[in-house]
Amino acid sequence: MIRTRYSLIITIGLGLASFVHADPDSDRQSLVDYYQTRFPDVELQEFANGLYAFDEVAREQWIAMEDFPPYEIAIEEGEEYFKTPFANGKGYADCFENGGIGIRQNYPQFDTEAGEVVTLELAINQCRAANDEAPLPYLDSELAAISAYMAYTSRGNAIKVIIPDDPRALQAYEAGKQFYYSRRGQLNFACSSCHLQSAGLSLRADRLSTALGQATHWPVYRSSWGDIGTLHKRFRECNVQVRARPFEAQSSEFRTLEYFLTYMSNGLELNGPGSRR
Amino acid sequence: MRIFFILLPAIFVAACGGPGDEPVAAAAAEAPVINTEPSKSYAEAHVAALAAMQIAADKGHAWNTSDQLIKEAAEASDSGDEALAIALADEARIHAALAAAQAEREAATWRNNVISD
Repeated sequence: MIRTRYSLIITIGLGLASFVHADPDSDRQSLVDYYQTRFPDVELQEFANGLYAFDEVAREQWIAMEDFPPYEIAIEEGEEYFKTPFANGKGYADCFENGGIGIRQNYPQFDTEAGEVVTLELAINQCRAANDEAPLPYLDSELAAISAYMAYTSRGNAIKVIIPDDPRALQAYEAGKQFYYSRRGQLNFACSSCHLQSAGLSLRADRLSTALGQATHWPVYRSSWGDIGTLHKRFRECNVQVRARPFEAQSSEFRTLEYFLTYMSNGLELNGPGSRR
Repeated sequence: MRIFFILLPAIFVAACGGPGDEPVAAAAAEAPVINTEPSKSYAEAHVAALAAMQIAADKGHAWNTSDQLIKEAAEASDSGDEALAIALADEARIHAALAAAQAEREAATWRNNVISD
């Protein structure tokens, strides 16, 4: 009888164990351990610099580019947009904590009232809507410029994305995690295929960056774009590169992906806006 | 030969896996059966392709190759090349079916790629 009872407990325990997965902090720590083992000479904070953390040649070019950073104009324009009052006399500063200064590291957030992930770009447009202003197109450079200015005022702050005690928040995180690890497109690649399994390896003339630090430096001026753009613009480009139909910028798929990806960079310094080749 | 190249991604979908092994083998054993018979008309091929593409999109795994193929099929039809239009629309449908199969497979196996689970 006792043996049967123990067997039952063990069986139930094993059954439950198969459904229990790592919590977000364990996920993040596993990634940190993985990359630190893979790149033992790279300091943890250096991962915020993407491939420039471990590609010496690209790093030299990047440092030279930072002497006259191509995103500088976007910061200036963004500041002007940010400080220009809406028709009702209010402004972006009225919508955000601390007047919108030095807060980029707290995004994306999970809005427990709406039950959804809110990225900074979505919050900017929510601010506009609350003040009877038309939303800005999400792939538009004006929105990216405002985001760039807000990121600039947050430089040096440690990324601090929070998953509140709300099952929907954890669900959103898990959805982003599933997206990151799911193969898609005709080429059958997951985000993790390139940025986890193949991180540091060469893809044509470039080396693949690590998932750790991928969300610290947005918006980014990419030489291939000739413009500044948001993380979701890059997500779309990745989708196309693996021959998948891209999701819309600020779709729930991309917002949950950003939530997961940014959480993985918690503790790293925000260094946006950035420049990339 | 053409069919081989069409089915190449399916073989890839079925064969490639992450660090895991058993679920991948199981998925390979359940490789999707996809109708590769040519449609009888462009209208039939077009409707079937759009339906398959909608299924893939609903699963969140649409491929942009189908979008391009269905566009080229419409252009071929407009120019009066019915045979090419059918072939392209059928290919769009096959890509969409592979995308749907990929979605199902990934829903079951994505955790194999996660290093912490």
